[in-house]
Amino acid sequence: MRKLVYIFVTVITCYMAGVFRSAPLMALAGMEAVLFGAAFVQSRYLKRHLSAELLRHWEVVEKSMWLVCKIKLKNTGKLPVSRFQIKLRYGYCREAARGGRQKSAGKCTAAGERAKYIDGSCAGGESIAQLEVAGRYCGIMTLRMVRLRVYDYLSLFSGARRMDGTVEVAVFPQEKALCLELSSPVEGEAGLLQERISDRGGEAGGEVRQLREYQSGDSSRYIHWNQTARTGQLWVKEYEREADSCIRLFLDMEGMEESGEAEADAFYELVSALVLGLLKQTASVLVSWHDGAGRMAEMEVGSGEQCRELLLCLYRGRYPAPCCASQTAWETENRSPGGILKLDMRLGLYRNDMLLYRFSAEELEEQITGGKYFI
Amino acid sequence: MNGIEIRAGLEEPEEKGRPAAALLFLEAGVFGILLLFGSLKGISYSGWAVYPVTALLCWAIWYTCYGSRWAYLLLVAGAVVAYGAVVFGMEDVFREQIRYIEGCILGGSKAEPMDVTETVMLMAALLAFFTAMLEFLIRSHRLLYFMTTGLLLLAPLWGIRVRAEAVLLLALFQAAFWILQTDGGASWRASFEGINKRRILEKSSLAMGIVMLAAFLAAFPLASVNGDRFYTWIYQGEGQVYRMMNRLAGKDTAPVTGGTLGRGNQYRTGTPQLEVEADLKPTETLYLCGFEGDEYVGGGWSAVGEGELFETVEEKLGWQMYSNGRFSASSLYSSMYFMMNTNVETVEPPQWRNLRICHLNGAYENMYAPYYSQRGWGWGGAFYEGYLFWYYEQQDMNVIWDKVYDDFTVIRDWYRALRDAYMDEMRIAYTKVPVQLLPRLTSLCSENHHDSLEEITAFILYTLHENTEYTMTPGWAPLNEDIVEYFLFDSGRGYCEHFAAAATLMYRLYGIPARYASGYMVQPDAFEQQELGSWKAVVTDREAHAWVEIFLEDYGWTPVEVTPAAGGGNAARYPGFDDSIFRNLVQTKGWDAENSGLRLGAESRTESAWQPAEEFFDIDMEFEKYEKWLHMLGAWGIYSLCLLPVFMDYRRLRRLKKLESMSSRRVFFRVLEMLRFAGIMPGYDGTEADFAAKLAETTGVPEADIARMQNLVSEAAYGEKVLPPEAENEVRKVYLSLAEAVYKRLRRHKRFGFRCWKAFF
Repeated sequence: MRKLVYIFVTVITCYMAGVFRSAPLMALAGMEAVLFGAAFVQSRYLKRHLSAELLRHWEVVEKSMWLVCKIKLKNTGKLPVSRFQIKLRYGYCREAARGGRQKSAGKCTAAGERAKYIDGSCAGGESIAQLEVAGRYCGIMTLRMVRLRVYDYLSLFSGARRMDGTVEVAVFPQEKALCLELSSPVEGEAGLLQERISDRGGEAGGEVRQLREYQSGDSSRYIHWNQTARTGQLWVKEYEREADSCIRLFLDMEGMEESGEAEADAFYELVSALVLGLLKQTASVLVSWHDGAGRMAEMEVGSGEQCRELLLCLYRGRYPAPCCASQTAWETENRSPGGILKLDMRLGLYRNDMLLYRFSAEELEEQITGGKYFI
Repeated sequence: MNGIEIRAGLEEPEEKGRPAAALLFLEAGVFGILLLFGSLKGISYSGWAVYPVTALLCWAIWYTCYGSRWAYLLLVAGAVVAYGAVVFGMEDVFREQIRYIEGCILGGSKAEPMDVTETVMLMAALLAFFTAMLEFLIRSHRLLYFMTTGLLLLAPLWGIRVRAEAVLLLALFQAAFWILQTDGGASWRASFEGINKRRILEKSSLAMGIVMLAAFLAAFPLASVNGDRFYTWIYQGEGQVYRMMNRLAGKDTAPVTGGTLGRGNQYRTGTPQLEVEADLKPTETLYLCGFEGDEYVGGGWSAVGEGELFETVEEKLGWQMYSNGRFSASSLYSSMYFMMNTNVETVEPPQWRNLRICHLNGAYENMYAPYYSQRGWGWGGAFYEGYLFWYYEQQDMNVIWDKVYDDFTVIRDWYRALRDAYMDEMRIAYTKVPVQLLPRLTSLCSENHHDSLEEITAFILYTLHENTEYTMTPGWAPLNEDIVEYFLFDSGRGYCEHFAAAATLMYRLYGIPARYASGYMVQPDAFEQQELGSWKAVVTDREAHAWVEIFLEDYGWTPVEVTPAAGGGNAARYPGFDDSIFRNLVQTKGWDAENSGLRLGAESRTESAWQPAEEFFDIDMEFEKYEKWLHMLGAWGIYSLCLLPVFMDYRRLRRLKKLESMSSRRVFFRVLEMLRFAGIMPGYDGTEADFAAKLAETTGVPEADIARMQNLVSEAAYGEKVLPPEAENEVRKVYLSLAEAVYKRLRRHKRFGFRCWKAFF
């Protein structure tokens, strides 16, 4: 548009100079024509001397938090650049996979991506430009710098150069744990949930850590009847968490490929909250899932960091190499009398295929922070 | 939105320091406009007073604009008071000067050039404030760019001879601020660590300024030396476009007619328009008159309408009772000289000629008649298209009033009476000149007195041919100049219409009845013999022409050619006058264009005394006694209008300042008010679950920020605790981001209301 306006003004100037026989106006038209040509040459010159590259290629950020990405600009020319424009493409890796684009060498590339343009100026030498990125969904987002466009001083012409810089950002849910209440380790079906990895199937005996006053929602099975009788007030027992205890969790990710971004996000968020919640009750959680190729994957999670590793494995849809488990072993354990917890894509939490809770994607945040769940 | 939000440059720190380039180019712009104004004909002011004061004021504005906002407002207030006092203290001076400037712009003029320093200083101050406000405060260059471009390009239309320094300064101003105001097309920009964006743009603008200066200094001498060559190229282009447009519109086949004088170049297409067939080959140039001018109305002639004139003639002769549609003084007169020539008793009576005229486009609204003719009704049988005239060539005209056939004496007496009565009336009708429109021409004729028709004709020819040049591409004439005066006294370039109009008016100023005539001029060699023996010529628009008619007693209205011939000769010729008489007269009178004041060159043109044109502008108003108060009111109005932008900006800044002390709930209310004003999400009241998502989608502001604002506001409204100042600031920041985004989405007229009236941003 600018170019058209400039050409129009130059032509009109030339015409008016002619019809009114004005030498200054004719000189102005001539000067404008010269500048037009000079602007073209300048845009090419500036393009040749300006380059941009991303300083880091891998970043981690919590959901909805801002991450600063830095771009190094290098101007080797003698003229400052009054205006350049970087074209960015960004999107989620899952989108890339679903969009049918390649997913190779551990890098996600263009997909149902969006484009954004950043303008700026740059003096001679090196300088750093920075931009901030925030992801609303959990997953791996990619930010690709696809083109650098450099303009002449009048912004009439631009020279573009293709860029090949990508930064991948893993977006994790915020560290929130579900408030869980496990069945008593000594009673009933405790063995189904909490067992020793080293001694599977053995008697699991938890020690009472302390007694506390009964609170609404506490299971009646943990009431310390003797103390209650003595004091006339309800008391419940709290058990020590066993250092080497482990809970099994199976993630049923069937339908992940077809699910929307919001559904996947809710699933990841719930997995994180569930695992972190379980980790408050037990030493580790053995998480298993089927990957995209139908193979069984397994990972033992014992800390928040490992939980992020787990999520990363899920994002990438790959096996965590160090703790792969064979399908046979899994099947053997699956038949064990202890049973397992299962979480599916519809946010249903099961125990031994029996639905315990059904979470809702829309109210997940409230459910995670506000609820208490007995399993 | 695909779940990813990106932002950059939102926390760009305010840059310190004053950009010197901004001052330099601000002064370039203001001085450029002042120089342009100074080039207006008749305007003069004291540069030694105006330029230093303006430069100082520009510096003060720049210094305060980039320094303390309070100092700037103080400066504005001080200027308002000072100029207010000056305006009302010197009211009479300003009133007189403004009137004079108005006259110069509109084309009126004063006998004495007036010094308008005071008004120019006032104008320069307003201009400096206005330019600084747009460039420094509002940071918008577009309006000024188009304004200055318009000024440069339209100045010649008002007769301003644009000077090179004005052009250069304005070009520097335009380009430099174009660069300084570069903010990219994206809604946000990257920010840099340790890089001063303003300094980069400043350097870029200075570099561009140097390149422009060099380019202009190279181009100007080239344009001055080779101007004609460049102009010819432009005219060739314009001609091509004109011809193409005419062909496309089908106008090229329409015969030319009318008395409007061209103010620009003439381009002929060569399209055949008439077909003229004669029984005998013409031996003289054949003038086919299609239009006769009555009164000069500035830029053109009204068509002759002799109805009233002939009514007076009939009244004078007592012929009213005989007058009817068929027999009237007018119809008698139209064929009088043809009939008289036919009935003169001679040994060898002259043979009239038949002339058939056919309009090739088939439209016969306007007819073209040869001189000394009458409408014919038959030519060797019949013809199928067009109309017929019987006519005599000028050389065959030999009207001897006392030597007619006996049976024609009665009619001859009628004709003689008619001629005498017509001459009396015509002398009044065709010597009218609007002298107020033509002060310089009037002055020229009054200063050079001549008695006889030959002398007058010779003087007219001499003046025209010595001071003007014939060209079909004289360029455009300014709108505020009379085309005849501009042709004769300023440009000195024109074509037949200008020559004929100037000559007609000069004849009339000398008291010789004359008419402007236009139609076609067909040369004898254009006729080719046909198989049946007749002679035919195809007349194109290249033969379109204008000439002067003067009244000769024995010839009636007779064409006088005043346009120089292609070969450069003086072509005027009518019975009793030819080239040799002209040369003799020039010699006898001792006319010398170089010495006797007949050279109407550019120097004398600008300084030639302009007659007061009071009557042209002086409107006799009933409110004359209130004139002083009306002027005062008008001045106040204009003054207030000029200061309105400053006031609006101040008001806007105050309202924005108030934002800092507003509670987050009030700020959110402003957001809703702003959205309603912009017509965005009209049904929403801010409590909806999808409010943030939808607003983010519409404005491009990150959804997280909007949602955060929503949460903070609801916390402030329904929570138990008071929001901390940081949270309040956060809400304000989101408000400003939203305001900026909404502002960019608005149409131009709404933007004004959004920013200046409602002061949302």
